[in-house]
Amino acid sequence: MSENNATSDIGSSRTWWRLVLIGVIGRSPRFTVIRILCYVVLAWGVFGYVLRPMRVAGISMEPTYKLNQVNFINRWSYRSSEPQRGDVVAVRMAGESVLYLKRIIGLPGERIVFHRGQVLIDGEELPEPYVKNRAPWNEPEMLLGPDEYFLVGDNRGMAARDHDHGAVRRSKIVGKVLL
Amino acid sequence: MNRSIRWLLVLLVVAGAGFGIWYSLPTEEKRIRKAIEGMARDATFTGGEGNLSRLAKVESLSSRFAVDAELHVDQVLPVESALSGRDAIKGLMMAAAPHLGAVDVQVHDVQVTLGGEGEARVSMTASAKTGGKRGDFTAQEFDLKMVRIEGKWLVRRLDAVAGFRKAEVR
Repeated sequence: MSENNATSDIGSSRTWWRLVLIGVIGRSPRFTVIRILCYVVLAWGVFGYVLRPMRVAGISMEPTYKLNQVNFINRWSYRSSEPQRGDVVAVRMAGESVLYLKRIIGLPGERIVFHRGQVLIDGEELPEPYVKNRAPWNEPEMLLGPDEYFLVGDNRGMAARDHDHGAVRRSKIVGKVLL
Repeated sequence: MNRSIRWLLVLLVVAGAGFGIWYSLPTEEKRIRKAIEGMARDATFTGGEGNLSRLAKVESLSSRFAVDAELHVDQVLPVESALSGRDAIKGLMMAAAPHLGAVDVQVHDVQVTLGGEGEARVSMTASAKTGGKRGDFTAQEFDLKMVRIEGKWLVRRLDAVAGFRKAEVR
């Protein structure tokens, strides 16, 4: 009786182990290996060349993007179209390990000015529903070049001197934030 | 079949060893990268670090600059002009070091372009993480001109690169 119990215990543990094995490596190990290789190549291609993972490390884009929030940069977003006003984009420094995350508010050829915290584009007020706090920034007028975009973060409650913003060339823009 | 697999393994081992030797060979670029990483290490302070240790690090950091080194940070900091000479740079660092809290400096995207006559240009991003709870991260792009003096790569000129073009105040 006890021998039978022991045999059935071993049998059930074998069945359980086999189920785990099938769950992990599948019914055909060769196809599983090929499938894993495909996933690895796909992940390498997608995350290496198209979607760059990033983590927010500053407060200049609050409240839209909060500190330590994880997101992705779509490197292909501007392959067939040009950056648009309102897009949140990543800007490279010496490379792409550390990026600025900012919103485009000025397009090439436009005149931009901060007057008491309000942005004026070619003399007209820019509606900015994403800005929740607004310190009275005052900055002189700036004419953007034919290849320049004006970028600034959403957190305008900060002092302007503590908040990196200004014009960047198109080539410095890595891509658009995905989420 | 077994023989060919054995040969393939031997080939792989030989190729791996060759790559390892090539990778570990000291080149000028690797020496420069090491010097840059050393600068980041010297500029990193832990919270509980005493003044003596901090000053020793400043001494080490300043020794990585040439005697006639120039620091141009007016693009990003509200300073009037460049800082010239290793002693002036060291003096500034000595004054600042005891007042700094914990700061972790790291370098990223170091690109080295070797020139002739023991000169090199380096482009990199440096980041600093302080002990604060919010907004405790700052990064800055730098261009460096380095020179080899007595076998050691030293910074002759350091320029802070402005990430954004600002409006000119008239």
